[in-house]
Amino acid sequence: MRAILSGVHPKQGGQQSLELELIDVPYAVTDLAMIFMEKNALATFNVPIHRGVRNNMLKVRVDMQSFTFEHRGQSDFSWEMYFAFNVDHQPYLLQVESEYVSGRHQLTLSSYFEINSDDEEHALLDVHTNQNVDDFSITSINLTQGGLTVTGHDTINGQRLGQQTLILKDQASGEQVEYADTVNLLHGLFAITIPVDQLNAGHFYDLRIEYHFQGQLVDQRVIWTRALAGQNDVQPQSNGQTVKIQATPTSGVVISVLPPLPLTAKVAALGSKAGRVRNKVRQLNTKVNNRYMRWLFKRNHRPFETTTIIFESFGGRQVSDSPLAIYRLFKRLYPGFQLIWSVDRSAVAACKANGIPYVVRRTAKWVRTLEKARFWISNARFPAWVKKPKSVTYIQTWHGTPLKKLGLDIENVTMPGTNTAAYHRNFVNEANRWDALVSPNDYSTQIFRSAFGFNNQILKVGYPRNDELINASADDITALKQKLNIPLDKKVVLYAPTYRDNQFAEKGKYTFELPFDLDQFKAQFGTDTVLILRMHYLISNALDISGYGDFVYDLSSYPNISDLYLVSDLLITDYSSVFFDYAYLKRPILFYPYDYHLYKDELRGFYLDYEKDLPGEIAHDEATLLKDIELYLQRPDMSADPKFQKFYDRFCSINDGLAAWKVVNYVVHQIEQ
Amino acid sequence: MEPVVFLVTSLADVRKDRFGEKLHDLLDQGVAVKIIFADLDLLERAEFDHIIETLTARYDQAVTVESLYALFRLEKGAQLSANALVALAPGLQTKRVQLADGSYYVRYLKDDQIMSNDYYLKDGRHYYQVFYQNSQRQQVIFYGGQQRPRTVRNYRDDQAVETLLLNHAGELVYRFLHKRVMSQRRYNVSPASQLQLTKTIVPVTPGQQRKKKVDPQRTLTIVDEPITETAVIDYVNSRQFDGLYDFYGYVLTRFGSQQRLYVSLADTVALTTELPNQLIFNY
Repeated sequence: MRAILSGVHPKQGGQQSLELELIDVPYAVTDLAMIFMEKNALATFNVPIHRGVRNNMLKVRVDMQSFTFEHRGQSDFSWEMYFAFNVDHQPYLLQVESEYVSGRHQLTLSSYFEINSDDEEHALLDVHTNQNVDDFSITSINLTQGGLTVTGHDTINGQRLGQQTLILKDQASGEQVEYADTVNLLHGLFAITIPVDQLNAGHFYDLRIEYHFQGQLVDQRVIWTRALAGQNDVQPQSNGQTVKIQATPTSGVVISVLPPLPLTAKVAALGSKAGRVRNKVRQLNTKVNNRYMRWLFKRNHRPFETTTIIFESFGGRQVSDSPLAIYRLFKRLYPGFQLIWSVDRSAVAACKANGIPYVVRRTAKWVRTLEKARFWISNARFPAWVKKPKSVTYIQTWHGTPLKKLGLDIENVTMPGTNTAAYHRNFVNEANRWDALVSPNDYSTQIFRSAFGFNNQILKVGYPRNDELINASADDITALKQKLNIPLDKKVVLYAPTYRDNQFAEKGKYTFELPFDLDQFKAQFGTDTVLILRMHYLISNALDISGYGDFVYDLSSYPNISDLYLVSDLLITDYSSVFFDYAYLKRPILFYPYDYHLYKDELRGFYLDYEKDLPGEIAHDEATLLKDIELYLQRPDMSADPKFQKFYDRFCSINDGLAAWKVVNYVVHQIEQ
Repeated sequence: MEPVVFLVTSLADVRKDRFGEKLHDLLDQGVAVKIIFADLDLLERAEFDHIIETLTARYDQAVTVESLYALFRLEKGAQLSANALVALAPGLQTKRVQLADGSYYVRYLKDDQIMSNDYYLKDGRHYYQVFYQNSQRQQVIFYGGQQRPRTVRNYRDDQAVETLLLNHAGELVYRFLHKRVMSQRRYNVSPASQLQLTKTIVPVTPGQQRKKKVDPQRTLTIVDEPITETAVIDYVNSRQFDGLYDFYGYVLTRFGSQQRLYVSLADTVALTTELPNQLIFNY
């Protein structure tokens, strides 16, 4: 029996909703309550839970004001959490475990809370008050070619900060460089980049921030409360100067500008370089000599000195999906880490073209890199023969909200070369190598627990790949349309059907027909609408859309399907799980299962009831489909549709657009532990 | 800081080091402290008084102790039945026994059977009287230095079966019915957890290493143990109490919300349930 904190969500009035996942808790539970205990003052309070347990999930609403009190000047409060309930008048008490990944939630200018876990992985709600009102804690700081980039939260307890301005103040002269060019990095995070190439050599600059909050101008010192590991804290400039970020003992940030090295120093450096080369050669010799020894030591691998994270997507076939979203954020916030993609040879060209560091799968270097890394982040399974060292934390993002039954939930496995028991055993063995599994919603969490027999940490943070759907602005969408050559004044319908095995069309042998008449489609909608096709590449190859150049766009091979979601106004699909992601946009979705009678047996293997649970209309024939398209193109926002909203609340409720950031935080938290 | 109220439900509460530490901490700050002695075994009151006296000896500031009797003495109750109090037959042998602290008791004997021990304080005020039947306790009447009984406790087979709380007029205001039952308590907390469901804390072997991943925390601990369940019958307002902790919750709310409450850690889980959303400190 376990109770796991799986999420904390801000609510109106400064309240927070805590979400608990219950495991192996009997059904007829009564008198539910959360008991919070402050460890230092030994103070408790009990929050009765009036709502029942639904799908093993429980929500408790708390007011953060209740978590501070006057006690001998105490300003930091650390609360343990307990879940209490009765079954048949017998009392039960579970200490809540923590699987929630939390950043710092600023409550006021001088107080914040965060969720932590103790060394036995029990949840702690830490509230810090009486913080220095002159301090502003940032989330990342990096030097890049463009300058000094700082990111931070753009709200305090749900209220927006305005006109953030970063200030570099020269310690010697008091002169200030101000920069207010804020960009929204993610929902809830801002980023400001200050050019540093004009700073004075030999000078030191304090970093401050100004912003408007609740009608006041706030001026604060920027603080960085962690180690600078993973941040890019040194950057040579084109003028020969070197800019450095330094944290002061009081967590302040100082930017120093080192003048170009004089010739003598360069010569000295050259000497030391030569020394380093000699050392390398010596090390190489030692390595060769030690090779045999290492063989004897069963090829143990010592982790890289630099924190190294391996990313893999769909077994190395792509550089995509949630691992890519997480990679991008790491690259931006922690460029000091070594970030490497594990890819098949087929994906090497794409890596080279985009400057993505990679290692080719099934090579000796790949084995070595994997074994010496600290984290693996993948969206699919690694082969069973890949040995996961104890030093590795393996984060599985998975690749979609499950629609078709998975793993243990498949009662009868009829695949060649395996039987049901072996298939189930392999699945459970693999799944329990995952130290953490990203889940987009409670529905998926339950399925992951049952289908994978997964007992480790669930990070219910949403899918990182969907962050861009939530965070994209109207300008971003316009830019995407321009990139894809889609007319800005036309509506866009996206057709993304499932690939069916029986559709296998040998290239050049015959032409695949769409399950609706393109001519009729064009006649009805062609003047103000375009159609994007997103098919399996085999189908795409067999399609003949010549003659529809200004109306049909075959973007089947376009790498990022999220971009296609963003530019479209309506999605048509059938049995594909794409609609789980598309629903984040709250735009209309139509289901067109034109071969429903053939697919019916397959649908029994679905987790959802196809007739009841979908977030849109089902059109069983072409005429209904065209009628529905016409109707739903007029309804760009589906929020008012009760059936859609019910689906949205169930599957898309984690919509803060910070999933990747939370995974990044989880990794950084693991490193710091 | 607002005044503090300690709830003491057993002698074990005040014997804990943490009780003394918290009490000293508050007295050092000059905070007004009141203790509600809500232990239904009134015979423990003398030792309680002694412990408090020792703990507060070096302080000028007085600690107020309130008993349940003092809280409810002015409430209107029900008349006790005529045979509710045991009466001694006339003509028994008596023997006065002087104790070292100046107090004394009078023993009533019928041949070799002790019928009663009647205790008096050193100033001669009536403290309490114990009645025996076949050498086992039958009834204890607690006077607490007053003329009239304050609390009556009845026994069967030497086990307390009920406690009667009386008002200043000797009327019954609350009846507490005690029942020994086997209880199963289940919890999934680690030895390091502050909060435990039972008073029996999972023993920690000295020097035991706390592992990074402790498997037992994943499993449910089930403890079978006899406990005393107490039902409360209200003769004042005919209020329905869901057990003793509900009654304690009621007692505490009578002090209003301006007081800071301190309760024993052992009572916390049961008591917080009766006082939802209220900050309670523990000792």
